[in-house]
Amino acid sequence: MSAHKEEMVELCAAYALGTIEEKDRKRLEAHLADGCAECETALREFGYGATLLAASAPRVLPLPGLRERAFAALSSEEGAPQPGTRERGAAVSGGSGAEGAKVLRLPRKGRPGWFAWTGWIAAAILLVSSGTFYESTGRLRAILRAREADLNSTARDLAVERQWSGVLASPIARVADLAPPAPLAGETSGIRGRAVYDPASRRAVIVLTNAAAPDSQSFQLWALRGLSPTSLGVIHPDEHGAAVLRLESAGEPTTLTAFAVSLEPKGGSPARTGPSGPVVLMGPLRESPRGPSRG
Amino acid sequence: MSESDFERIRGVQEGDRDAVAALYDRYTPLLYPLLVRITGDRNEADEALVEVWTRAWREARGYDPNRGTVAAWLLGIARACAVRRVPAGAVSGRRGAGDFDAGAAHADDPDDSPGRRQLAERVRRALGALEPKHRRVLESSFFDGLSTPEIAGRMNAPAVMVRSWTRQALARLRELLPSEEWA
Repeated sequence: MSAHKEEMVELCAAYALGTIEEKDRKRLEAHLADGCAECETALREFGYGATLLAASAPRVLPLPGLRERAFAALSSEEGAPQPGTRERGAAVSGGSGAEGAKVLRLPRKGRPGWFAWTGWIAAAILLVSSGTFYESTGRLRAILRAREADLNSTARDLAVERQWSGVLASPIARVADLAPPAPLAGETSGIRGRAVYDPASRRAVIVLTNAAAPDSQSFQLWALRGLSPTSLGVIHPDEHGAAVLRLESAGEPTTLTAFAVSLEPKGGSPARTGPSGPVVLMGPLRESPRGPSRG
Repeated sequence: MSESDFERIRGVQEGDRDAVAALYDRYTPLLYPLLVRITGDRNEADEALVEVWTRAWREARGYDPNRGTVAAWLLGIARACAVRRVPAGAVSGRRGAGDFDAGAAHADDPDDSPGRRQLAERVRRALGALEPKHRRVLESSFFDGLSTPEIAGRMNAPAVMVRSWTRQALARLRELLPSEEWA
């Protein structure tokens, strides 16, 4: 972790407002990459100011069609073909004149005889059966596409689950048993929890039981980085009071020391810098009893 | 950051389109007025908004909750997308100083929620209570898209002073409005 430099706080302000110069941005990024809890706090606070400034701009909304345009742009970002794009493109080029002018004119023929009628009937049967075949093929393609999408979705889910099970299985994982720092009374007294943090991925999984808060209150999760608490959000347990929280980026291994849970007014602590209510659970992170040699 | 935003950004990181749609619906009303304000042009703001969400989708894995909320992260992207659409030195085409008056508020947004309107009012009042130099550095930097040296030139003050005023202005704004949230 790098030593805090006061001059960096002013760069954090410029960073949050977007006015930072490139050379200063690189300096600040390098400083943050080394880990500086004070500057991270400053960034959060100045970012809060930037959000307030944006909220003060005269209200105006985009037209509804822009939402579709934005999502169409996301699709092209993934490299996925836009539905119907090729067909639309072909229709436009086909109707643009140049290719239409190349159509050959066949000589006119006399009235068709019975042989020709047989030919027309055969062609009609072929056309109908081709249409049916085309429709069936289209349906099959749609089914295949749906199955493919399901498969991709399942593969993605599996990859995500593997990532999270990797946190629990990590040989260098650190664990924290979350217990009341002082005896609790009343309906919140049963809350307990356990946190597993993987320093390699920065991910953490936190499991809480009996975490149902009284009606007018919420439990809020905190990470302690050094001595500074950082909110990780309000906890929404299921109807049995259980909650499994997956944190994508719980903090840097050099600064993250513990997790805590506080009992707050509904919606979370009004003080953004820390808990406003009692801390009901606390647990310092320690090396996993499995030890690193198991990996 | 609210837990739901945490869930949404995690979803975006995992390629979940519903998650990015939820973020779009929640934060476009915050981002779009800023884009219009900086570019001074609805068409440019439209283009910028599409770019914002494309970048958010592409760069979601770079989001670090230790450095701020999802809203602040999106605003950083939005401001960058808007500023690069404004020719250098073309500040005169944008809305200028004095835009913190309440008169122009929500004129174009019939669906604006009362909570957001009231938040905008509170922020405008707080900005009005700032020292003029503090208000000016915030306006010039955030809404006019000027860099620190440009602001220093316009205010005839050293850049180091402008940096210091920016920090003081944001700290003062926070003192005046310690606990607000984009609902």
